[in-house]
Amino acid sequence: MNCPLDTRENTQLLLDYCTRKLEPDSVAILERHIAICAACRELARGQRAVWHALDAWEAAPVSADFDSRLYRRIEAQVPWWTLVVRPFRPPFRTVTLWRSLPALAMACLLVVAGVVLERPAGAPAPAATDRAQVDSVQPEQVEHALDAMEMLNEFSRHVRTDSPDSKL
Amino acid sequence: MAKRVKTDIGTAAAVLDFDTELMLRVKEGDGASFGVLLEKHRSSLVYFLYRMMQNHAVAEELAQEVFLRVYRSRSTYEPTAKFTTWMFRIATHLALNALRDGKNERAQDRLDDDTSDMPVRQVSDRRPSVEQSMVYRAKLDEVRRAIAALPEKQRVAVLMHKYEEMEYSQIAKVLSCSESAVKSLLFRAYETLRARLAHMA
Amino acid sequence: MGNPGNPVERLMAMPPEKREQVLEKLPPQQQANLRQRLERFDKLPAAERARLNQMWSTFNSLPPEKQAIVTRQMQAFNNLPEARREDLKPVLQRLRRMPEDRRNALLNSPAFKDRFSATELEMLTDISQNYPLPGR
Repeated sequence: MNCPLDTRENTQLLLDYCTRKLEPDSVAILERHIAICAACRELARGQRAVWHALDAWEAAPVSADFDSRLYRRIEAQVPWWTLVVRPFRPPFRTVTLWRSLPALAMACLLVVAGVVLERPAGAPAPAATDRAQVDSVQPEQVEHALDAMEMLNEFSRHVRTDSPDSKL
Repeated sequence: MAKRVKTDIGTAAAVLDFDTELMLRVKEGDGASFGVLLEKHRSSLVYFLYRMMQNHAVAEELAQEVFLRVYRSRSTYEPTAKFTTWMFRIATHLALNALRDGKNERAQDRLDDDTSDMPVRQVSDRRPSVEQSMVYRAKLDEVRRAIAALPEKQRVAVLMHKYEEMEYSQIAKVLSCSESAVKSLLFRAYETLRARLAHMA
Repeated sequence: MGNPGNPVERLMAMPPEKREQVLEKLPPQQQANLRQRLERFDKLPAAERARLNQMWSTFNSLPPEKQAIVTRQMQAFNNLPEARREDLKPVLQRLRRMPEDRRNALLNSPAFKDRFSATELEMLTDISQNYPLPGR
């Protein structure tokens, strides 16, 4: 085996070795080489040191209100009236009413389409299947869903410091 | 757990690329699936952006923008790549633009004072002493400076390789380059990091 | 973000008289208890309610046998002494974020096994394998 310092490919092998991505067969071959090659031994030691140093850098937890801020932005990003009306503004001002009627009709159509397409998911239109589900809900299912949410909430609070303490 | 209410999401769980399935459901108007994607990827995305920008507020702002773009693109979404590849590609693009715009211009200044909210590692059940904490913070500072000093693409490659544990092929897709180019980026980056951090063994 | 699949949300979306019909199927004591829990849920801020719905969606997307495993181990984790929970927390976070092959390699390594009791190992394995965080 060539000395890993000689070629970039072999240094990559050493990098994979230090990051535990190398196949066991290759690990055995490389370890035999490292045992007799001081340069590679030093490179592997340095790479392991870098790996451990980077391990120490943990990121701060995500803010508790991250999701609520995002959902507010999602719901606020529906400037459908602006998007729809802006292209039609000049005709409203410059042409007679009858000439602007098709544009107005198109605007109304787009407004309706915009409302349907951009309806925030928090207020979904009740679909027929949802209605069927609503009719078939059992109290035990409700209890178990609450049990699950309480357990998940407690677990989330324990493992993620960014998770708020729910009053559920 | 009681009798399970079968949902479309339940069916999707059986499919290999769960994220893509979820995103296709978001495309069909299923808001709950977007919530699942958010829950799954929120932390890793914010952490990646934090390490890129070294500023927590900017990282969260950019992560919000990524999720917003994902949500806005739902109607035109096509599963041509893994969801996470797509998401990290958006994140990388935004982060590099923000770095060029100087959004994190205070980041270097913050290196000195922004470590106070970092979790201090604890060994087993022993609490670290003041001295241990100071040593830890000094080391952390050195690591952050070393990463910040890397050229942009090398930094992205290292963060994805080390912290996101991505394969070379996925990093290549995020960075729109070849796998060998990624290996070359990582080779140079780790070489620089070894020179700066190897003494920390 | 609504969650029409969640039975709690489905019950809340019902007209009052229909909701009563569902609740009245339970014995009085159980009924009173459920009413209290529903009232608490209904009073939650919208964002908090959305967060709980999301967690439920992720959990509900698991097959029933995995739900049972996750439930048993999460309850065990929640009941650990605080100090021990703090020790396991970063380990669990890391395992949940790992790709499957690397997670399995770590879970099976002797050095890792030496750090935890058999019960803890089972807990870490079951939760991280059945309830992982990011999908890559």
